Amino acid sequence: MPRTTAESVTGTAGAHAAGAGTAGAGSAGAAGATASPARTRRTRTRQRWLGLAIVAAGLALLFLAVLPAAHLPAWARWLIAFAGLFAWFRGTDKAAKAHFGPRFQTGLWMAAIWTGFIVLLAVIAPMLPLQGPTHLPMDTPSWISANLFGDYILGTDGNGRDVLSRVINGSRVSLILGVGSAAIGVVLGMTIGVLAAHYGGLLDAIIRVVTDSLLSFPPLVLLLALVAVLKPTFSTLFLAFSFFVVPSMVRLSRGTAARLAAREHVLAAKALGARGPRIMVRELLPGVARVLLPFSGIIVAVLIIAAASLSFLGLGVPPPAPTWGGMISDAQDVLQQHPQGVLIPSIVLFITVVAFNRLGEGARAATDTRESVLG
Amino acid sequence: MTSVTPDHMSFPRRLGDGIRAIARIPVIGPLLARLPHLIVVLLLVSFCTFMLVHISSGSPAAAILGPSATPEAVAQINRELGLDRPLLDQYLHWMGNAVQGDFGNALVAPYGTVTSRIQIALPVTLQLAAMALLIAFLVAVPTAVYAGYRPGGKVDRILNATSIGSLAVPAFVLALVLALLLTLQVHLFPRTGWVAFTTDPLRSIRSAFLPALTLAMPMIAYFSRVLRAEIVQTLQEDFVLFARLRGLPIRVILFRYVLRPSCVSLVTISGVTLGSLLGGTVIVESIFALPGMGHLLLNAVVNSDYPLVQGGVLLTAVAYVVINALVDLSYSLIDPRMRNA
Repeated sequence: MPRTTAESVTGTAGAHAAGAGTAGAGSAGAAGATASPARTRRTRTRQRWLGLAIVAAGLALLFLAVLPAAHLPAWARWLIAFAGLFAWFRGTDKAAKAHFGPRFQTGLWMAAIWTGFIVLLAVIAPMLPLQGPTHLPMDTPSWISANLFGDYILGTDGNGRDVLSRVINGSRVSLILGVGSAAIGVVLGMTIGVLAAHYGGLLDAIIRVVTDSLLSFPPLVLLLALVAVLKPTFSTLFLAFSFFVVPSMVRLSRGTAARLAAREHVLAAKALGARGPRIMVRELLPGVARVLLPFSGIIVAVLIIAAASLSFLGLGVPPPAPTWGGMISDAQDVLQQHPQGVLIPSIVLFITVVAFNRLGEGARAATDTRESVLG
Repeated sequence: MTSVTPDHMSFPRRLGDGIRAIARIPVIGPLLARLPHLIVVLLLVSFCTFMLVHISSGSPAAAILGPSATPEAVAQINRELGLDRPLLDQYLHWMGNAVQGDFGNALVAPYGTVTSRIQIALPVTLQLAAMALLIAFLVAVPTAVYAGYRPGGKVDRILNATSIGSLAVPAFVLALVLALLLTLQVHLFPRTGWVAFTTDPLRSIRSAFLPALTLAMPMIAYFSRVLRAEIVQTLQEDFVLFARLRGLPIRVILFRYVLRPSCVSLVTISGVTLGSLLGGTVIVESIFALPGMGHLLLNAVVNSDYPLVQGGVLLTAVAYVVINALVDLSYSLIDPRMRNA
């Protein structure tokens, strides 16, 4: 049972999700140990209906929050919306745990669903019946509030542009920068790290000194310096981000590969006459990939934040291209009058980052068999 | 991510033996053994910083003269700045001056020497970093100790949920929301502006509080997660059981006996955090309009003010390296058992 041990070793997140599970639906499980199966089933059914009822209540609150007929001040709408979201999440959690068993990781599934959703939106964005993200209408008033039943679901920004369209098209920039450069950075870092660990000697010493030097620059300073050198356009940012990921991945993969290289299966391969390339690809790479690939989720999250931060500072993908960081930056001066301008892109950014983090952590918990790596 | 082969492994055999012998000297030994590696890293860092500007697309001459420069004027400026000499020559010249604390003059208003500009900006960032670390420790340590003492309990679960959330909020969003909540609704703290500590300590702390809190939030989450995990492990050790058998109050056990050996990872990550704070408060400084290192660097980058970029980046990188070396040194002070390891 590698999965269960991994979860208990990883401690913080995995164990807590499970802990929360036993607290929520666990009463059903505890009752089941002593009571009859029929009673357990009844409890589970009750939990399921209770969960669905909470979901319905949450959705009703959300509906109230976006209903234009209810004359509510903006802050009350936000409060109700948050309460609704919270109830919706807890209800889904309860129902799902009752249905699929207390080990069901609702958060992980939601993270996966959100990621899939946002990726899908980013892919089909040009086909959606939306105003162009950079289209500047002359006659649309700025800062129309979000209204589910109006022409502009998420309202308009300071220039009267459609916020929904800008959020969706902004996700393209964030995702390509985040996922694309993370992929390139991880693959490059993994290759260099395995080469360094396998050949050792002078090559290893050089790679390690270079890596340490690059890691000596505080992350944001390194990014700023790279941006200063390359001048921000989409392709240079992509390059800078990939370069930014490489050193830490080299360090991680080198350490893992060095530990793997001391293990018996590598020795056995050597005894059987395997040469360098075969050992690296067949014996070292799978183990290194097992450790590194789950990290890519977290790296994507970091890069999405970094991209937004640079856009916020005005050093990201240049306007008028829509970016989440740029939208937040544009709206920060009218934060008090139109908090939606900052809040809407911030919330989308927040959920996306949490989702990638959660996916990465879930993947790590599932593949983290620490004892076998330590050997 | 944790254990990497020791530093001396990759050096040639004979040198490695010598270094290993040095490393056995207590307390300062490990630092001396790292010295060759450190020096190479520092040299490389300075070279990278130097090269940064030379592969840059915007030339310094263009930054000074503006877009309408004639080729003759550009050549003139390049000669004055010594940019027409061989690269290695320029590097050695620059390094020689840098070691003496001279990074040249800033190219864009308000001018002045790079050293004097940094001297003005650095105290602001240092005060911010110190306050942020203090806030983070004050909140994270008690929370983590209690959460580690009762794993799975209410405090632990709240800590876990909030830390996942607050690690995912970008600094600028957090800063804006804090500003919205604390400065505009309750007029407790000023929204922007900076009062130097030397002119009025109390008002200075008030003006730095919000930015420091913004910086501290993700640190609280990170620190308490790391410390909690180690506390849980330390509590399994025999000496804790012994202390309990002796009937020591749990408060004494937790804070006198358990906290200290559990601090190793915390010290590591606070060293790394402090290092990145020295250059990485860019966003917070730009939102709260503070005249610190981040502000300096950002302006230098935007204006292609290359001596300022080089000076600032080199200084923060060197500080980062030195702090990490000191952190390594501190392990054996925190946990004497590691001296023999």
